[in-house]
Amino acid sequence: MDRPLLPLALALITSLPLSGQEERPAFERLEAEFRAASSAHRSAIADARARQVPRADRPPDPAIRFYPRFEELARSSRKTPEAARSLAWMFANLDKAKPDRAARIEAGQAILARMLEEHPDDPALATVAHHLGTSYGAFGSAGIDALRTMIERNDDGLVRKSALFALAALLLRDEPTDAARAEARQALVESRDRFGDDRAARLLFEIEHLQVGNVAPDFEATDVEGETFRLSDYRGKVVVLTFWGFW
Amino acid sequence: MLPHEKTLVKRLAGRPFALLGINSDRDRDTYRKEAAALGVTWRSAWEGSTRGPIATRWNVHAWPTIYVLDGQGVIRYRDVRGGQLDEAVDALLSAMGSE
Repeated sequence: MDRPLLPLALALITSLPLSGQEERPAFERLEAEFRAASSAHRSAIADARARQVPRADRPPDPAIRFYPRFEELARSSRKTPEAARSLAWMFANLDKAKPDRAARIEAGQAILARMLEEHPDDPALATVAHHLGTSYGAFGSAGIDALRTMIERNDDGLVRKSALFALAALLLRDEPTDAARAEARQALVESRDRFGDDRAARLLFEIEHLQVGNVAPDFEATDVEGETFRLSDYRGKVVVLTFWGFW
Repeated sequence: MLPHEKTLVKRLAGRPFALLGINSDRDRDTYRKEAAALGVTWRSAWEGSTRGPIATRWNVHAWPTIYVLDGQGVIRYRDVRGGQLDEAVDALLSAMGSE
């Protein structure tokens, strides 16, 4: 068991101040620390719920105290991939770190601007794209434009894949124009056919077959008693179809 | 949601109307017990999870998700609830010539 210690010893030696350079991955260390804090927080929250502690008295989300640390890392490692990852972390954790909506949007737009200016091709943008897609229009046209830029700057890869789906989601949600729908469809088709994105496939199915005016796609199903039936068995009746659960 | 659905089913008994559920509860026996206890009389496809084949195909991400179909199987309303659901169903029924 001695052999693995040799490379470790070498790594320690070369990382000493003697060489004048910090080579430890600061982002990875900080992220690991955050993950541990999040895990502890989840247990603490479960415990608080069980004891019926009122919401206001429950422990605060660790994202709040970690945010300035990632922010500092982004600042001090400027224009490096570490900065990109830090900025992406910040964007992904805005909801938890900044409960105030106005502050959140302001911070988010600043992060977007900086990422597009300094890291337009960085893989960390895929995280940003993903979160933009579920941001429910909070970043308005700045969010949509950011995704368009990501698509323009990335011919391939995870950033393009994430941005295509996110752009389609935002356009469909927030821009009811024909042009926007056409742009969304095109993004979804590429997402589905070129990147094999299942979410895009499902959303396309919904757009094409589940709108008011479409004949509902038939299906066969088994009920709780084990009997099978088809939706089309109910032709001739007004049907309320409800996806539900007791949970 | 449930009390309203029960009222709807009761109110429209004998009319060309059907309330169909796509249920995502995990355990069939638990479902049956709860359904019996709460007076759920309408038919539900039982998918056993929120990722069942029909919910997945129909891209369902929120529960409940509601579609209202006319007698030809055409989707006429989506995600209407409460009073709006009543109005939608009544409008479709009267268009069918059934008052």
